[in-house]
Amino acid sequence: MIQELNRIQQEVLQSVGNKFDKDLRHDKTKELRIKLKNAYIIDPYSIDEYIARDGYKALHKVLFSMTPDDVIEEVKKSGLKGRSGGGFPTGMKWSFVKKSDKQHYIIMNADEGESAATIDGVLMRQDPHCAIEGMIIAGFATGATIGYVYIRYEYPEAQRAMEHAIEQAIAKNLLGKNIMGSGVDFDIIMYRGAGAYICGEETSIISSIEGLRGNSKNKPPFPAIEGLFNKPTIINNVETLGIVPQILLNGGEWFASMGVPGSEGTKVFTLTGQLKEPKTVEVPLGTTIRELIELGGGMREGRQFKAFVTGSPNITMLGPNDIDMPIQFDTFKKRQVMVGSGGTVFLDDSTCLMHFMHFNVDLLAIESCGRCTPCRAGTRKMTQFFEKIIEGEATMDDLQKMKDLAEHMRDASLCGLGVAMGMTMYSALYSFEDEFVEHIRDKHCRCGKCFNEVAA
Amino acid sequence: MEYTQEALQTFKEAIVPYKDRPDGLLPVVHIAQEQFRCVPVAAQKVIAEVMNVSVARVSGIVTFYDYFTMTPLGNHVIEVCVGTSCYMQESKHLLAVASEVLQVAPGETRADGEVSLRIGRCFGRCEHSPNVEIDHTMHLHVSEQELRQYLNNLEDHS
Ligand SMILES: Cc1cc2nc3c(=O)[nH]c(=O)nc-3n(C[C@H](O)[C@H](O)[C@H](O)COP(=O)(O)O)c2cc1C
Ligand code: FES
Repeated sequence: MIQELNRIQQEVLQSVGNKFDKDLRHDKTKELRIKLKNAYIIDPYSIDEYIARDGYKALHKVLFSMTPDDVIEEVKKSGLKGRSGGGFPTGMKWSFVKKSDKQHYIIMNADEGESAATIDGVLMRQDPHCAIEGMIIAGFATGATIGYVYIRYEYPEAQRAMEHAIEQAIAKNLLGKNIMGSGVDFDIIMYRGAGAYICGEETSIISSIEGLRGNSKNKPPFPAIEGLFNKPTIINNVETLGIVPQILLNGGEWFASMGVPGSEGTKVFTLTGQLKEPKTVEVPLGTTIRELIELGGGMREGRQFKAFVTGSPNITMLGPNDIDMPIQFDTFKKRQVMVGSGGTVFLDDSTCLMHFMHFNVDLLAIESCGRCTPCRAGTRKMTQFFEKIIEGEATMDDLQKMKDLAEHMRDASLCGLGVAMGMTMYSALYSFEDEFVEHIRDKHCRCGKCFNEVAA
Repeated sequence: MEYTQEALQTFKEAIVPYKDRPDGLLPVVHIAQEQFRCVPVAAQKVIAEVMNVSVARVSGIVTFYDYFTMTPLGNHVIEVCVGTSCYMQESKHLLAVASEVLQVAPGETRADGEVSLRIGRCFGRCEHSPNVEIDHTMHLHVSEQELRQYLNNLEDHS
């Protein structure tokens, strides 16, 4: 089989000309394209072109020369942390599965619910096989033989590309029964969501596939122990699984050599908001916010950088004093800021933070699944507080109540949607307490957006 | 809205293959939404019968997700993205313009059944914001003028 992969590779390389030599980096020094190495270069509908770029060689290596534990060790060595935002170490997550003869599952989280994020969509549309290969490897490592791709309703193009790639992989015996003659089976089921932000949360995805309302579930038990249909289930993000083949092919150390200790490797970011040139880039972790702004062409003419926001609608933020802060899991965590799934919004000094926060908190109130009271009632109450601020009716006492409510939601909510409010308010007040106080005590909005109009 | 026995029978045949799948409920609700442009109570009853669950459970799913509707979507579906990136590019204004031109409130279907105006929550094309999807065609970087043009063309041809 490896001969077959090599033959296809040679054939393609002889006929493609210089197509693969394209360098799509926006900036040769700042960008490093590992996950995006194929995006916009290969034809996503051609499995041969993926193979020509060393595709499915990692799978071959894993199936014929490694044990599941070897795979987990290699992923641990790479330092890879989940790219969905929380930054949970991937190798460690995989090691939680106790292998048994029960059915085990992998779920690829392709819900990409964070708005202002395009990463998973780009990967699935432009390089669908990398995620498929990563899923099969994850299945081998954790004993799963069925993988679900839980894809959001809004991504029909990505779904088509994935479905086509799955068919091609099956036709070449790279997926399905007895893969490449190894005796290993793995099947992939495409599963379409129906428009619910909460259905990106792992236990809600499980509810959704089980045919229940997409409510989140209590943890523990964690999905790795009791997940889909009460069976061991590993849930990973598209970008996380998409990089797994290259880690196995090139070794964990190769991946760990990029980025910085504790935040190894690269991260894809969608730069949006009040930049001159919003775009999607891939940079080593450790890159600073200032460098991202430069990649985005700078802030709009005549405007100053105000805030770097990750993860909307579950937003966290950094302020103007943090412009030289490197993007790392540990430094961010100290400030209760999430690295996020890669969606970023840059705000300039023309944006009123109260309006921006009201927009996001209101969205959370709409999207809360409603199962637990702290989140259901808390998101609504928080929206009302922001309305009061914008209308000039909030008091300093309300500000204290907002802080208390956020802490309560952090401690008592069932899942991340409500829990994150603690980080949202902490990070906002850390950098922008003066703007809150100006609004509340002095009835002054430095952007001239409040007090005379209803919340937009 | 009344549905013929024939339409319901066609639907039933389409979903029977899912009847023993423990993951089958959401896919069959999708099939209903596609066939009827909504998931009417009549279809919910068929689903409950075939999948051997209560109608309440089916209804619980239909009402949970944004993309399922109980009344039929219009012949034209316009979706203005109000995800965070598009919101930052003033897409709420585009939504208001669409609402005014089409004479329908955001999230609603016009009484004549011709158009539905939906509120999008990110199409994953944020670097091109603001974005509008019209009858499954994605329009990127849409200006107010362009939007008005697209909408007028729609009305001319309908
Ligand atoms: C409200 C909420 C929404 C989420 N949405 C997503 C999502 O859209 N995509 C995603 O990959 N993870 C999402 N997550 C994180 C998942 O719960 C889960 O941690 C993730 O899929 C694990 O993948 P990783 O370990 O590869 O990062 C969300 C979490 C919460 C609390
Ligand atoms: S926010 Fe509109 S496409 Fe992402």
